[in-house]
Amino acid sequence: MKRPFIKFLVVITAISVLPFFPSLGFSEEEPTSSVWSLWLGGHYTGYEDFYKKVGEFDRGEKEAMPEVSLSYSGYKGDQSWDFFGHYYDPKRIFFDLSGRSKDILSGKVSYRSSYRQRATDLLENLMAREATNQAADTAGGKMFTYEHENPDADFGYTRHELKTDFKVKVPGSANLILKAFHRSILEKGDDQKVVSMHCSSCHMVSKCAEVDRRTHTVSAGAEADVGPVFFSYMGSYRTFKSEAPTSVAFYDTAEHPVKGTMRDEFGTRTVFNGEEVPFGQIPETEKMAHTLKIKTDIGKNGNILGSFSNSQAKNKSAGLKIKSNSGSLKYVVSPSQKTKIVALASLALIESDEAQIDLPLWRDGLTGGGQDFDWTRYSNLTRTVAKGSAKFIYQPNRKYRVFLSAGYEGTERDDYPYFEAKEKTTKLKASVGGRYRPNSKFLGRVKYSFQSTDDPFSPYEQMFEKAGKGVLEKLPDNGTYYYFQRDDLRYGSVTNQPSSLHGVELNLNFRPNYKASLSAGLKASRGTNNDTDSLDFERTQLQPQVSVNLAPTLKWNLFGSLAYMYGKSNGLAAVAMMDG
Amino acid sequence: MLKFLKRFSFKGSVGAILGCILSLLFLSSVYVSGESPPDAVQVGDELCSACHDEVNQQFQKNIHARLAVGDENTCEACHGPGSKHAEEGNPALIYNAPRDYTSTGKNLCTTCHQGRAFNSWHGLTHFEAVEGCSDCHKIHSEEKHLLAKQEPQLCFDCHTLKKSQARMPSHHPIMEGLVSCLDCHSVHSGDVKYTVGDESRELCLSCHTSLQGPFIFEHEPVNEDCGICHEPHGTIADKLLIQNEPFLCLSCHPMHFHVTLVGYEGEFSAPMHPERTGLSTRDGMKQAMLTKCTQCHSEVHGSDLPSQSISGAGKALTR
Repeated sequence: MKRPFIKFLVVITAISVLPFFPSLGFSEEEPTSSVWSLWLGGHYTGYEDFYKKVGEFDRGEKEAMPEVSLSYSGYKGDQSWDFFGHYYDPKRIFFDLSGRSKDILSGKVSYRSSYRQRATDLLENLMAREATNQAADTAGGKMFTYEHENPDADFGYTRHELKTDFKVKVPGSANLILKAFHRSILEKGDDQKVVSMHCSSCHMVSKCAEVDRRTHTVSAGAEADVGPVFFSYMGSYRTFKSEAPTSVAFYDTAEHPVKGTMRDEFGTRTVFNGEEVPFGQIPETEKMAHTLKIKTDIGKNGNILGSFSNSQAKNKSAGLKIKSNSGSLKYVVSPSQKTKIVALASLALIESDEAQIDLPLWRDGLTGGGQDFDWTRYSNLTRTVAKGSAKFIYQPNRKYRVFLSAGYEGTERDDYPYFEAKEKTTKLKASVGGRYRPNSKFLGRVKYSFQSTDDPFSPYEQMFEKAGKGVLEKLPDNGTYYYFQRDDLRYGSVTNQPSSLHGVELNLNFRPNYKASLSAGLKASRGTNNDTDSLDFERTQLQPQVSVNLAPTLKWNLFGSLAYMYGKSNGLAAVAMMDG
Repeated sequence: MLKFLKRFSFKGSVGAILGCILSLLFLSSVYVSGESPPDAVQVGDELCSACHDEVNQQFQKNIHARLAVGDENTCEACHGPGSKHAEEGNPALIYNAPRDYTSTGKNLCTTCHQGRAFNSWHGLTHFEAVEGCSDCHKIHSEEKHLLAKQEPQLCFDCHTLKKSQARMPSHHPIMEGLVSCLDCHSVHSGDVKYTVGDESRELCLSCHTSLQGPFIFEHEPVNEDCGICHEPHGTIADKLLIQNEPFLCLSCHPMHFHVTLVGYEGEFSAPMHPERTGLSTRDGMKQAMLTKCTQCHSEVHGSDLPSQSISGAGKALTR
């Protein structure tokens, strides 16, 4: 951890703790209580196989590790404070300090660190090559090979997070509250970076890349009741910067992948050729957001909550921006003691900058060359999203409750990646459910939901290639068709998103007395998409569960549960259809 | 169990569920609804604690008790006048808020806990689903936030699917206590915790800030919804992916350049680079199934740097 960051954390922590000190000076007459506990223990974890995956967040030291936690909670009069700290190992420490002084000042500061162990990809799957004949018994042709610079490396990084949160009620004002929030995240360590360096033989190289990512967020705002109307404003500013040195790789001079010749020909097809260039570069970014909320009662049994938000995210390295403006309304009304209606509506407009991509001319100076592949990158994030829903709840008595809801969601994109599809995705949602509670001992709940999606998200490049060389135009002065031309011949839509989704939930709970309860449940969902013209897709999930809870005294609680989850996806995997 | 699940019939299960519901409707019903009679009067905390001493002991450290210091009728502030209940010991003669909960009418807790953090509590899914605030809160407890259990177990009691997912090989470190359910979910307000408009991304990007962009070369589903590729609570596949590579990628990019023909068996060297050797087997197709797309397309979330091929327009996200 670099010193400036440590200083920053120390300053923030010191400032955060200051408000708690005045709360320690109380008169002895005020009621006082304090409870504290110290817990000492240890842990041992051993993993024999796949320990980097199973122990992604829990390294597991093959030795007993001491552990300690301390909690303290106290109050004097109307002032209180709480502390909880836990030391698990040197890379996993947690503390949380919060306090409240009268009804005026409240604050919280918390810190947590953890270590994320990253698995090392040994790249062994890349040992492959093509045969040069149909019988597949002659070596030759292209192949994948790899080079691992750190096969025994223990990649991973430590994450530190510090948060502070304060609220101050302005003295003399009835309900004006000022709020401030801060959050810093530092991730530091190293990680594996794989890069393709040699065009001629698909040669991949694994390198060690330093991780040093820093995120800072500060927010400030206020909320107040002005007559019958509640106002809330929050402004937030977030920055991200990677302080790690940029990784670089030398890209060989491009050449024919099998013959190793034709460097002029292949060299002019690549953006860079025989040079050292950066890779894995993370841009510096920032984001500013403003959110305003207003709530007021409407009539005796209704209220309306409105919110408006404006945000701007910026990639400072590339000079690109995303602007967003959105608004939402939520109206809740109880026409009678037995009914309630909840209506929601929202509209969001998101605009992402275009980017001009300048590339060298393709096969410049060669026969049929000089093709210009410059293009303008339009973003599919530029979109208008409209949502609306309504829910009706009817509770004739305390035994029964039923609800019915319906919703709409429309997403209209300016630049859709699936070029022949409609640019709009429309979702219609509906759900119905109920609850039955004949007495205080038994409860049953059931819910069914359905979602129909017209044109779910689909990728740009599609499934099959038409037998269409005849419809392609050869490049000027060139007798060859190129692979990039064949992209235009692809057809057949494909997606992993369902157009139809059914879901069922059932829960039964039996509580014979306040010392015991038994519950059982089932959740099931099935998503399908039969609308594509190339393959059907389906995904099924099923999860039954049962649990028992026993609390013989207020100090004892025994809990056991068994949950089983079954998931299945069906889709077509099509590989190697277009041999290069 | 597995055999049963393999034979799982969706239509059959719907029938079974409906059967359960119908059978429930025939269960006997005696609803316990306590209420202070109109002629009952307040008796004070001391008398209440004579019978409910265990509850009273705990309640003394409760935030409600601390806020009501000096008040001798703390219990009756919520339960109503208790003289009739004290005389007869009948639970039906004292008001019991958890048993009075309806999602359509007024509720005792929300008479104080309204506005601010509870701005959109009414109409929220949690508000409709629970049987009262006491589902999650022990109102007399001395625990922080009066929680009946500590999270994540409190949340997992109802959200059992998430409980299963949190125990899968790849998971957010919820069980390790490094991530809290409340880091992402706002249980009372239901408000979008982050900027409205791009909320599905913003929730993830508030921690995974390095992926915010906007990038010059984008991967469209990253703009669309992180959930197209990731299940945030936990998955069997690596990196919270809903399927392992290459199958997840092939579900959108099936027509891809691959070195996957059934191949030569034995040692080999590169034609132009004899120093590079490898082992090829006849399991070429299987080898293809072991392809990890992100070994080449390492910057799959987006990049400002163009990839190698000009005819690919630099957008292959390889560097």
